Amino acid sequence: MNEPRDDNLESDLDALKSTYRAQSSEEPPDLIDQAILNKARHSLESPARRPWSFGWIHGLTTAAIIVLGFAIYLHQPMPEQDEAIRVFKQPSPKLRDTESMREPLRIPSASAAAEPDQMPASRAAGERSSLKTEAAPSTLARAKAQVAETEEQRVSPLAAAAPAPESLSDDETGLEGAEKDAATEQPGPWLERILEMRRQGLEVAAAQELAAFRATWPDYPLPAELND
Amino acid sequence: MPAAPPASGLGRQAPFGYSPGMQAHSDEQLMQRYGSGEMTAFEELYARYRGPLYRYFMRQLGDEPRVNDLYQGVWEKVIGARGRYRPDRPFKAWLFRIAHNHLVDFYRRQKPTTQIDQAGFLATSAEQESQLEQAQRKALLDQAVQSLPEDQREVIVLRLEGDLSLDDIAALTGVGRETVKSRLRYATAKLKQAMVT
Repeated sequence: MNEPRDDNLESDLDALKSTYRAQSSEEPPDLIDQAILNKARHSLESPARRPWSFGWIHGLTTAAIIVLGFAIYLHQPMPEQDEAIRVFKQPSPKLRDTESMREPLRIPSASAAAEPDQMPASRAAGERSSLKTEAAPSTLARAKAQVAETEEQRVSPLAAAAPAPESLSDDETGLEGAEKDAATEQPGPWLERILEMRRQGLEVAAAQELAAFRATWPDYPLPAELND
Repeated sequence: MPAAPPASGLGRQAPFGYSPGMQAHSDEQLMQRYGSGEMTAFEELYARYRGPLYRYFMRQLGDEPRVNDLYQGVWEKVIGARGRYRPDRPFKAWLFRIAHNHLVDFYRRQKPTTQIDQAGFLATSAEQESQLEQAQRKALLDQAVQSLPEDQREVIVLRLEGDLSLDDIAALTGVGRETVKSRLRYATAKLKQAMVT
């Protein structure tokens, strides 16, 4: 609720205001009006220009990110995997020559986890799992575990594809000892070898060798010394 | 908060397309529309307040170059804050608060020379008074306003030019409502006396 003095103040102010405003004619110069309006207009236009003015920065940033990403990719620890792939793809000249086949299968790095066929399966698995788990946050540990896995994958299919030397020769030829040699020996040198055995007095061995020869070459004419 | 009345004191409005009957939008709506990119909204808002704001500074300082600087500075601040303006805040009170802060900063920077400038202004004002005999009442009023103490002058100009309420004036000058009322009472009495004599 207004007091009487407030009412007086309001009426005095109203009277003063009408007189005051009737006599107040000062206004800003036109130049200032135009300057302010231009600034207000420019302020509305400037956000649209901003992306253009900083476009080269965006381009430069994108290029820098791409280069940096490529450089990081190149510096990844890939040599072990490359070696593994190279050995895995190496062609085997003779599948029978398992010794020469197994030589490149020897693990290049001296990691214990890299020879799973030489240790109990549970131990190898344990070591591999420990490699994976004990230093999980560490990049080095992760790389080691990755190498161990790669080598295991490399060894396993080859080991399966390359059986032991004995079983391989048996399965593939079906021959044993001298029979195997006879299968590949020519008749002339073979007969000479039998004759030489006789000359040396190895009659039993010569007889066995001759039997093998006849089994291999049944129609081949025998010399007179062996026809006895 | 109602928009500023289209008082006759607004003066030239033709360049900005403003007419006294054009109050379809409140000040706050216009400022919001300007914030969203409508230049015509700012032109309308500017037309409403260019006169009152300019005279607010003119009554306080009387020195046209300085008034121009301060006046332009306030509008630049308004333009710069268009994205941060909150429509729940009355535009008129916000505008005059910016003007008040500019004036306070100006006084702080100019304090050592204020007295000299004031004396120079009064001399100039006296010369103008002798030259403008036909506008004697206006000169008397100007002189009366200028002769008021600084605190009384500001509240009476805010009231007469900005048409601000007691609460708004109290808020932007940082004093109590009763203090504002007291200053207004003293200022009104002095101006009435000056106009009569």
